[in-house]
Amino acid sequence: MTKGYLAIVLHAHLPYVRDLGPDGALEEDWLYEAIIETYIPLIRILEKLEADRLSVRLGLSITPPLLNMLSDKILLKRFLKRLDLLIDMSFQEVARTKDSYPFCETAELYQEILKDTKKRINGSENYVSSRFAHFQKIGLIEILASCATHGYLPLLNVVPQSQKAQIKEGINEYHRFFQKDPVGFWLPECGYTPGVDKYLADANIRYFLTDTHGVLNADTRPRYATYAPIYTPNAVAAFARDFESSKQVWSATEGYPGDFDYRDFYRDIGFDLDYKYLKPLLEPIGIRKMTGFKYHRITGKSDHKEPYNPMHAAYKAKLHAANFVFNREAQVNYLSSVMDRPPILVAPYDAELFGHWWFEGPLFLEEVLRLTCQSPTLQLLTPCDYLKKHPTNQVATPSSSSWGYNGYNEVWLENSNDWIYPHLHEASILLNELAKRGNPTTLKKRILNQASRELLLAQSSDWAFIMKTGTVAEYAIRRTKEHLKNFNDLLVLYDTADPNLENLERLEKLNAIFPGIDYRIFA
Amino acid sequence: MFSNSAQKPDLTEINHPLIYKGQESELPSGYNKDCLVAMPRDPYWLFCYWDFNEQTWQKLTDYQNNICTLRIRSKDTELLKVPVSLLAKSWYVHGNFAGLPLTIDLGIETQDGYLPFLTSNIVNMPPDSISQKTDELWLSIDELYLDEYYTKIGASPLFWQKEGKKKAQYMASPMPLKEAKQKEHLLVCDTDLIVYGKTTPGSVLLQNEQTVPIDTNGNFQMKLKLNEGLQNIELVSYAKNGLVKSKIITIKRG
Repeated sequence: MTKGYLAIVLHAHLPYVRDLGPDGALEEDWLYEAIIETYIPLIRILEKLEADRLSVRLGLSITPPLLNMLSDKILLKRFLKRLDLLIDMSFQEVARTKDSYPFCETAELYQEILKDTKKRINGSENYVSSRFAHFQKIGLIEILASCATHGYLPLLNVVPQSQKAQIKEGINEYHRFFQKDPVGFWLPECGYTPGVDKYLADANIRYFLTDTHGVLNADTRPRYATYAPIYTPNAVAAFARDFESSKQVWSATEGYPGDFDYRDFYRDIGFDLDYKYLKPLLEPIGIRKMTGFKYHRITGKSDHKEPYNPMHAAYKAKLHAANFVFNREAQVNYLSSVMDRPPILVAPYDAELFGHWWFEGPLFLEEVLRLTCQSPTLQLLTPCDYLKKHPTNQVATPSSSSWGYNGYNEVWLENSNDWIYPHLHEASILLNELAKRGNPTTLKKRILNQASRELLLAQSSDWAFIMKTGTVAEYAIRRTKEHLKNFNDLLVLYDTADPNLENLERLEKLNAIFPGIDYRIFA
Repeated sequence: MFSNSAQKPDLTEINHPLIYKGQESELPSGYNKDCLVAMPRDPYWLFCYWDFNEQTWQKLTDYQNNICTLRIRSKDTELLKVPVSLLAKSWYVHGNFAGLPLTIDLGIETQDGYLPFLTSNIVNMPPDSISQKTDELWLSIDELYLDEYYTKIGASPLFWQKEGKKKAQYMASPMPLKEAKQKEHLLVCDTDLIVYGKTTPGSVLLQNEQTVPIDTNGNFQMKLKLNEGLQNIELVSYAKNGLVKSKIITIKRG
């Protein structure tokens, strides 16, 4: 008998890093790595579950910047070129490691993954999103919409029209890619602030997710804590992240991904092997970087690393999956004894954790899904499925919150990045004023549409996040300034009687996201 | 087989068009307008930034020897003042702000009192704990609505506008739970606690760091969860004139 529900929701997102230069941007590697290591492994899992006819339900949000990049012809061409280089290297690696166990097994595994990726992607435009659309159609997954450029809504509320624009354009893009209305909405960084739910309700969204304290600290105490959703006063359901299932996967100290048998992310042949051997992979700049060929396990907390053994790691992933499901069963067994309805455990994760950061993550996930299907007490569902079963819920306003460090806005509002807000707010005010005006000429509309793209791109939460973490901070600073400068230049063009269109045309090609945008989303 | 000797590269030492070197165009230092914008960082930290137009800057030069302060208030009650440099143009303020609606003034201390130049937007600081308010309201959304909604692939938003977007119904507590009805025999008992009183009108009243609404005459009433064992209910009232009074009520539930 089902005693409770488990709703796993994955959030797939990358910032828009497309560049028009002949060699693209260095940051495009983020996309290529995520396709090979996360998105295609997830597709493989779903295919297997489909073949086995398991009644799996999984939530997945895919953000518009990612959807746009996954369907971009220029990026596809560059990705295939990169993939060819990686496959060439995999042959060399299989030859180089053939007499040394267990390196040879890892090399063969990489070769198999890369060849399969090439087979799937080659000649197929929009492969990843069309596969996910298929899995949604057959009921394996439910795809959630998200903001246009991953704008962090709690800090955009100084000009609420920006929040509305982020939500509206995100939903427009969902329609374009999936030809249906979204039911759920992923708030970037689980960033909620009261008022956002009004825009979600206006867009017919039925639910969103918050961090644990978003629901727990609601203005009226939630009767079921985080084990049932609450409706906001605008009748949109807020589901809270379950603290325990989150900790078991995310925690830096106790989380599964840090197990010593798992593959080490940082030890990579890009930094270990002879430069000449690696050179084709390091082009065009020629600096050492990650290649994806990694042969060591985490081993321990020191720099000493033992060889990685894929079989041992796969075994550990299964053990961890069984432990995860056991703990969820224990949770619902207890909770169902003190609640008068089945509890729901909501477990949201960044999709890229599975495969990219945690190489064995997809194995773990597949096993969790399979074991939950067999569980007598636990049932997989999506938040929408839950609302169908339990349409009566308590009304309360969730608390402002996020799943970032310390639970509020600190990651995106601190010394390294607070300088962006006066500019973002000013640009939002200007665009809002222009959007409320009467009917401009076709050319002026075109200018304002591009200005909207630039402003939305400047609002990506990724830039403030990167500035805070400091890894490629200069890139994030440049992107923020560039988009804001482009915005200002376009507004000058808007006020020019006989404008020179060269810059407009250049920007339309360079930042070609949101083909159907209408600047009046900022009204 | 693996040397692990190669150092990670220092990108600042490499010249390549793909490596950014920090020559981006600078943004304007200001927009020549008066503004003071407040943003919550978390329940205890408030961020604000400000700017002035040319005339205001000019006016401010008359006060260059005066102390400039940010005044943080909740409605009409001043919570604290922080001396700042006008040229800083942004500031982080720390305080016990959880759950409070806050407004900031930026002004000058003069012999005649505080002279505010700019007033910010109102920010609602996030709470840092579970609410003491337990007045429950429940809402039922038509199951059919979700079914239709979910299966109607490609339905346009206009369809739902036409149909009446919210096929939902509000209900007052207690909620009619289907699950509860299905049980053979059920007896659930609980009790709540009502705390009421009066304070000076216009004060800010906090109960365990949560604001308590008071009416124009200063009366207040709140419903609290009555927990097992001893429970201390602390009420602190901040008057407009800066006076503070507190009361603690101790209750025991056996």
